[in-house]
Amino acid sequence: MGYHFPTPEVARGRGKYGATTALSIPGVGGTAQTSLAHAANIVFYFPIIAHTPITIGQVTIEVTTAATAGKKCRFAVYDADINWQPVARKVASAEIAIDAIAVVNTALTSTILQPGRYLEALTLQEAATLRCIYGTEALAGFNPDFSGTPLCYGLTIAKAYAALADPGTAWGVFEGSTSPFRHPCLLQITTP
Amino acid sequence: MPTKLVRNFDVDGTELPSSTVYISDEQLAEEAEQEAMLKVGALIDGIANLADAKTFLKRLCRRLRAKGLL
Repeated sequence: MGYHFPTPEVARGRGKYGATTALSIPGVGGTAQTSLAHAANIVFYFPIIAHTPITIGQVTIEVTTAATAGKKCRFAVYDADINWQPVARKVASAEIAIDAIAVVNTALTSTILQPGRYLEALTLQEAATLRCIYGTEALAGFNPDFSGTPLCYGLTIAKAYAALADPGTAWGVFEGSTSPFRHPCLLQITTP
Repeated sequence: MPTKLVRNFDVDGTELPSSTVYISDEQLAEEAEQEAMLKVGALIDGIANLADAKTFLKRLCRRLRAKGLL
């Protein structure tokens, strides 16, 4: 075998026209959308990958069935280790209102994600239904139980609603499903 | 034309002015259909045994008869 020059990663980019920037789930494709009821007092983790350095500046969710007045959720991004467990927190949002049916944009402290594994984390104060995108990836693998639910819609751990910890709380449930990860949190990549 | 509320929050959680975006009738209909399917799915998930299934089907038939569909 001859010498092969390493192939450089190509920045994935994201759509932008004028001041309008498309939303992203870094490293994840989407096939369809759905809605999913998210229970309170659980931390949901969703694997994402940065193939090249990216800067994120906003998270967007869409509430399709609202929680009661004043109820909120929290979002964060963590470094993920080789087992897809959360390590250091990269950025955390302020509390995000989920008490009205709406698309909710929340600014994040501008944060560079170097190439690597990351977990989006979400925890709700009260149950609400959120619009989700079915991810195409199997970054964290398939259900060890296989059976009729070989895919995974989220990695979870029960935890009372509070600020998302730094370092992150390890998840302990692989939510077996007939469909892939349902991502409720979309990021705005300010610098691809 | 139907609209959707867009809420905006700053880094510190301060709510900024909200806005609305227009959505098409087709998108609205698709969302309504999906919500309905989710509700039907939840009902079916709640069926634990044959008695539950019979009750579900009886109620479904009654509704369909009331609508003149059966």
